[in-house]
Amino acid sequence: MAFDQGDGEELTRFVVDRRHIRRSDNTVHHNAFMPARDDTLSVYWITELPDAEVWDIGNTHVAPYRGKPIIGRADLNSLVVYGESLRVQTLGAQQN
Amino acid sequence: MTAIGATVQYGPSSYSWMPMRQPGVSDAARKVGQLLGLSAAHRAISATGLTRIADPVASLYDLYEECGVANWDGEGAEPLSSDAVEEAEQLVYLIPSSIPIPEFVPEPSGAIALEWYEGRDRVYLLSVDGTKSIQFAAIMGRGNELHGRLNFDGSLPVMVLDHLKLFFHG
Repeated sequence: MAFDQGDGEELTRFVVDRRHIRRSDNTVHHNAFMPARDDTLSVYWITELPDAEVWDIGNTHVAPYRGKPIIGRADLNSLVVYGESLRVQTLGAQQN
Repeated sequence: MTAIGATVQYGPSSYSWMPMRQPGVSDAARKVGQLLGLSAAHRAISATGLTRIADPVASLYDLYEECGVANWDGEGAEPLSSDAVEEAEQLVYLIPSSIPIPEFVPEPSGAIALEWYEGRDRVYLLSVDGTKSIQFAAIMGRGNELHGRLNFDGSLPVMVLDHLKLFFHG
């Protein structure tokens, strides 16, 4: 599956920290998308994935690494990323 | 079904509550002690009913207790700096009473943001990191975005005040 065809790709950022979520309407704060020291941020490519599989990725691959349960996710299109002069780098595939 | 991991690549009140002079105690430890003392003081003020400032400031110090350690987000975040907390508190005291008190948002760089949020197309953010500067970023209606950096000398910059007035009062 080629990345970034046509209308962009759906990406998601898994959220494990309640301080990334705005209490008033359960949307995410900007800090959920702020990078760590190395100026990179982990997101997942979820185009055409069923919702249940997306959550499964978070529970299987993100929660153990972060040491906290997944409490939410923030979906966005890759075109939004490019609109901010950022880029998306694919790192590898995980077979589910 | 295949999922591929991806990475977003990013481009390029000076308070003295009570002196805690203790031999052998580092400046950092002393500062933490002062901040925690302030937190207790603010809770006491809150109990007397001065909630507009006291409760938010108490929540600021709660945040400092939670995020004043490295990796508070599980992704390598820097600890919130005590200087950033002090600057955030100074800003709260400088906000005119006609402007609501913001929500505090910790940032992975160790800075603290003050956020006013009125929906996805109306957000105003100030961020301080203890270096006597303020970064601001705003969405004031769809397509109206601005951001920048200002010196922070302990007074609320006129530009920020104008932004907040525009944000809340048109």
